[in-house]
Amino acid sequence: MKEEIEYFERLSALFLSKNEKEIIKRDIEEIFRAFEFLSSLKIEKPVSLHAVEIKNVLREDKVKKNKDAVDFLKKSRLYKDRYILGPKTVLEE
Amino acid sequence: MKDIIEFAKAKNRKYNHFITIKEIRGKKGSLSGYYFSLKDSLCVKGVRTTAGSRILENYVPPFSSTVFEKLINSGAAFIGKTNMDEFGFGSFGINSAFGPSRNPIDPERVTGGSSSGAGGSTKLLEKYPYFSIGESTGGSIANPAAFCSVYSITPTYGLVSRWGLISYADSLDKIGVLANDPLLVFKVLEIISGADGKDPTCIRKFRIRKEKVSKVGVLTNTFEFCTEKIKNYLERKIEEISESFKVDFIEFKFLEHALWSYYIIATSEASTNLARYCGLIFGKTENPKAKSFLEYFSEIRGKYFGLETKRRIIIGTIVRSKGFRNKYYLKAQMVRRLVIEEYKKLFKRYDVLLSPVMPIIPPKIKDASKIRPIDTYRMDILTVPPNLACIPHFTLPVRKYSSLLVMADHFQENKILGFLERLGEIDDSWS
Amino acid sequence: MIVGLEIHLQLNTKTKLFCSCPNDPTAPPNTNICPICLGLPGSRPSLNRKALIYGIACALLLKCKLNRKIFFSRKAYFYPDLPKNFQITQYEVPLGYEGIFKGIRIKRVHLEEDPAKLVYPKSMKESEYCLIDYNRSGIPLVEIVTYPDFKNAEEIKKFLKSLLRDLSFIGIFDPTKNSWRADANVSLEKGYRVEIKNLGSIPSLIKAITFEIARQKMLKRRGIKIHRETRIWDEKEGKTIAVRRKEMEEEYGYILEPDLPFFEIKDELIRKAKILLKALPENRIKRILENYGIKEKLAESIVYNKLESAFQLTQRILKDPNLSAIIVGNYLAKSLNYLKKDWKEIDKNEYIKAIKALKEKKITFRLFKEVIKDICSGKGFTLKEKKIDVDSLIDNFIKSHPELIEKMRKDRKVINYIVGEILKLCDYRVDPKLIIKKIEERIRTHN
Repeated sequence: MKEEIEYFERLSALFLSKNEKEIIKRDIEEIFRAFEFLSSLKIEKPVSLHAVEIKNVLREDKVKKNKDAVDFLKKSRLYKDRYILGPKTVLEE
Repeated sequence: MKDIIEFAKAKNRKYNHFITIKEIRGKKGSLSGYYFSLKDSLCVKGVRTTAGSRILENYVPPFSSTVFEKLINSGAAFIGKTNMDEFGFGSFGINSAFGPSRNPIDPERVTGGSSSGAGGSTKLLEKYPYFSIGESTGGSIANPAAFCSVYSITPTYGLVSRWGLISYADSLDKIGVLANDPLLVFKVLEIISGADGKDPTCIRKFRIRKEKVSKVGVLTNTFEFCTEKIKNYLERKIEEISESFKVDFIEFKFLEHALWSYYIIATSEASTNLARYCGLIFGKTENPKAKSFLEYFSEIRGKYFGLETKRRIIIGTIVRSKGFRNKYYLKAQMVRRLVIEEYKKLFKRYDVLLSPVMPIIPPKIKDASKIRPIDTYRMDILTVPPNLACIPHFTLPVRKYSSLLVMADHFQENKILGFLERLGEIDDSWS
Repeated sequence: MIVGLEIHLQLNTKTKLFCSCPNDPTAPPNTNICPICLGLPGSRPSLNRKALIYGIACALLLKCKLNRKIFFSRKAYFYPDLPKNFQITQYEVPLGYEGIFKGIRIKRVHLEEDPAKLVYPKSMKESEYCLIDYNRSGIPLVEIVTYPDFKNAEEIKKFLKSLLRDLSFIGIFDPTKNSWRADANVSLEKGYRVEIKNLGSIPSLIKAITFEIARQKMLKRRGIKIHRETRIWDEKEGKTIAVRRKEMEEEYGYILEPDLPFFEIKDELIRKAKILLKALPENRIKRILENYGIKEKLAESIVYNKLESAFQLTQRILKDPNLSAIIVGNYLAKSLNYLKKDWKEIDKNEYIKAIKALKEKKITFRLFKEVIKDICSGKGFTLKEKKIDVDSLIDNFIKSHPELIEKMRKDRKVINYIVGEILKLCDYRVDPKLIIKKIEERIRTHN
């Protein structure tokens, strides 16, 4: 997994400095060794969303406008001519 | 009102419990006369909310958390936002982008985390009618409460609306109360609990009710993690408890299981929750022009996230990615179910369970940063299991830095109250 | 060819999937937004009951089995159109599965949220930045995934046209407001699948698939390997272009969505969805046939052309279902389609006048057909109340065509010819039977 840290950096859109990469690589080794305890268990249990049963909470299809959010966006630093300015969407190769 | 604000301001330079101090008066209600603070992961409209992170250093939300509104509507007055480990990632309070908080009992020592300012300020402001609202994912209320010797409740998941809570891990985050009066803790919980139509996982309301409690289970193996001193203080308290209750000594078999299951689930959820911090609509931004989105996002996040945050994002991304997901994420979910079932078995026999809260006394601030991440995670060995299972738990201060953890089954907060009352910790004239 | 489709359709709910913002893609940019669809810290989603019912209706339309317990998942990837940089969707457990529609097997049907809209100053490739409009963020989508059962372009056309028509009929998709897009998975027998993304109309879908099949065939002939890849359709160039993909783009790191409960698809929800299905063309056609016993082809025309209210109106006046069906299902439908008009735009008063005139035999059926065309094009109908002197018309005609009198007595066909000429003279406003009667009278009296 050591050589793959760059892969996970990209996957999590996170820039790590050389120093940070060193530290985190080392920490991850230790931590995943601890995780092995879990992954080596042979158990089969159902997976549930929550520790207590939470189900069927639905919302009515009724319009509620939100002026505060519209104003908030207008005050955003990257708000330009009714839109939010974003970066290039094509990845460089 | 002025008095408490002035005092808090005066002490803040040294203790750093508050990221923002601001006065907002409450309306009239049952909590009139009380003051409160919110952990800085709880939004207040128009008030800076940072979650302890530089990336939100100047973020001012356009809406308030339900907890804030409920407290203001019940008469309590707001005095500010408390310091915390960045996004909740920490057990000592040293991971805040705004500096560590100091323990009022010994300012060289940590307050604990991640609700570091909540724990610290509750102790520091103990002569005022004051309580603080904290948040716990793996123990972040109980931990600072124990280190600062105050009472606290981390309620059952599903009692308090998380609308306006900046997420760490949504299946684990719970909002709770810290105070110097055990009954006040439950009174506030009553007020902040209940469905609000904005958080579909908040499904019930808590109401104080008398509950008879007689059977107590003491988790003996949990004491083995503690230092001798803590063990001794707590064991003496257990003896005292044995005089009023039927006490059994039992083992909780899945502590280690719970700890790693927690870190896998929590980091996997956190890594998705933190993906939104990318320099567009809110938080720190730069100039996105001419940069590809991956480059722009990575730069901003790399620049403004702390190291522990980056660490947890990477771990969380790994455990849910192809090739690892079954082995880690799904396995951890199964183990979680195992832990819950174990608690359910025990609560069939016992009204409450007892254990220590923290295995050590709060370290000195300068020493805390030297502790390796894996060892820091191990500090949570006793608080994580009840948090993973989402059962309610209460911290009962026994001696300086030594507190007892009182746990009950889901939605059985009144059993904890009943236990405290019978023990004499609460004046029974409250009903 | 082996083609499978993945279709995303916006649902016609009033609010978005997870928040109460208006579901209106036509609004000015960034006006239908709130903390939830902006992904502001501290916000969390809340599922729209109506969207769930619409999703169930779609699954039932496609004859899918329903999963009675569903939950949502987070599909995590970074992109400027995704406010949270994850999309809430259904991964492990779809709403519906294993269905069939127009002979094509349906793999799954599920709900998910639409991302925001990106606008570019130039082409996507050339632009140094993008502009983000969050109105679309969070609009409910139903995703339909088919098995690769399509064998030709006709099947694809029929499938999509029927799907859009039926969804529109049951009210869960409004073609004037909601949009759809499809990804096509195209391969040759025993070949790798190539995915063509984001096709937004049936013609471009057909063109893209046709091009891609030809492209793959040519590569195969040349012995060149066909890669598993993603392509987009360039309408201007008329070809599919590879979009360079890294392996990680398939890496979504799905986790369960812990901010939402799980949902039991109870009988009550299914019942509500079935009520919507009553509006399906096939159900409406059945009802008309049961109530009126008209010809099936006419019933189909009436329903598909949304002329049921026109039919009811006509029938109320004429009290003759077969005639009403012919008028509405045949002539009215033809005129409206030809003029590209909707029944809603037609002046009902003029129409009623015309029907009444027909009923009272004030105009012939042939004239009526012309009148319908006039009404549809907005010209209206004025019954020229000119009194026609049939007798003088006939007498004048006979006077100017004396040679026909002799022929008339011997050959009936001549009478028909005269009738036709008289009709022309009076603008077809006289009943031909009346003209024949008067001619025969003259033949008799002449004798």
